[in-house]
Amino acid sequence: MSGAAIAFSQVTKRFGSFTALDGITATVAAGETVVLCGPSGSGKSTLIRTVNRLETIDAGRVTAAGIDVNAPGTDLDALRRRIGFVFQQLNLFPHLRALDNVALPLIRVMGQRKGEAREKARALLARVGLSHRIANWPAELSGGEQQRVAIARTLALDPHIILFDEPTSALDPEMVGEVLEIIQGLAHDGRTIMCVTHEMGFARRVADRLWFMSGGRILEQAAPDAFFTAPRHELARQFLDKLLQH
Amino acid sequence: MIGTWDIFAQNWRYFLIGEYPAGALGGFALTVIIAVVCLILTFPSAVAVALARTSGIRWLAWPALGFVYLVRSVPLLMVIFWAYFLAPVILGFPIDPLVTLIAAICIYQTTYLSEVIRGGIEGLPKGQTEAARALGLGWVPVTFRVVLPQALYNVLPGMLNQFTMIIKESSLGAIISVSEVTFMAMRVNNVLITRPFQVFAILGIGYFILCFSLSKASEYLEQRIQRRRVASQPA
Repeated sequence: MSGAAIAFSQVTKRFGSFTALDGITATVAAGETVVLCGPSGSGKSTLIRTVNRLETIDAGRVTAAGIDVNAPGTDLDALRRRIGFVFQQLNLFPHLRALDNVALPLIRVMGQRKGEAREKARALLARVGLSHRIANWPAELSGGEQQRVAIARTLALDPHIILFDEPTSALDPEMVGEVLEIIQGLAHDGRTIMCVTHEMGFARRVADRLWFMSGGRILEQAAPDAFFTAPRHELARQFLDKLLQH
Repeated sequence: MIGTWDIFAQNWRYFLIGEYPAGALGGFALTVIIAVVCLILTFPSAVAVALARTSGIRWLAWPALGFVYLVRSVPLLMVIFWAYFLAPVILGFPIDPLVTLIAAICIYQTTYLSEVIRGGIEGLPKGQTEAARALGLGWVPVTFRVVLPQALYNVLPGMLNQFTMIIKESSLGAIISVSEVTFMAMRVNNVLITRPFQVFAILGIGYFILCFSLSKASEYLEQRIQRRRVASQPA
């Protein structure tokens, strides 16, 4: 399929007797921003983790950037260089300063020299508004700052596809905005983005499409306005009601 | 302990350097050399065994597991006897007792130290390797730039334990006539006959000084890293 950055075809994943992904077929167009929502345990995180093979699959096929992710001959490291991943748990390397967290992939993946890599890392940290924090250890940064460093680290390899796995769920409420703003900027950059989140305001502003998942299936794919005003699926309606009660 | 100082004053050369320069270097100096050589050899081999065990690759993990189980299940003294009596028969030429001792301690301590290091590797949050992998980092940078710097730091106290064990286990060399400090103390004792408490008090103080300085050195190292890094913690 031309124009598809990511394609899932009959993707199935089981953990023991639990079916996390139940024959998912869907595509994400190049440059598109898709927000995945749905109750916990519905398979959202598992689905985006199959895109760079942090999770293997039991059946079906995942294609990303034109590469069959699970084919035996796939160069996994090369694939992952083209796909950014931002974690809920932030996952900065605690033994490296902010600058070196960002410089590490530049040195060890791109083969850049240390000075050059640090220069670029500095620019990337400036881009996420952290020029004043480059010399700090991760433990000295707030959760929001850590996540911004993590995004800068992901951007170091200039991936065309970026996957966000609940990037703001581990953050204090006042820090959510600063992170979402950056993601919004990336979406406008023309990158392909899949983002799992419960921030429905963000989803409405930024998403080109929403996927509502439940029980390992995508029950509804819709433009945000359509989804929020008139969800077609009963479970989606219940899910939204619960979210909007608060 | 009457006369401890006198005994040391009369025999300090034996305690510190053995028969040197008339004979081979021995005593406390040799103990230090054995300990340092064993540390230098044991550390990388223990890291290698720990990496093999945590590799998830069967043909690497299983032999490493077998090695650890086997060696851990026998006393060190037996490993020394095996190396001392059996190795020359198998190899067909005699081996210096010093080499035998060093080899035995290294093999033995590799198992214990590798288990300590394995604990450090497996105790890291899974997100650390996932994040590194997701960046497209290969095995070498993931292991040496992300996993080991954190894992080794976290198990520094456990590693220190094993390092002091190495120093003390070198005393078993006395049994196969390696003229390290325990062997020299036994010889001094055999000459004096009636002063075992004093002689072995001197020996004990020697080991204490060595192990205590190592503890202090590692404490210093730990604090230095900690100052540099603040507390390493998953968010």
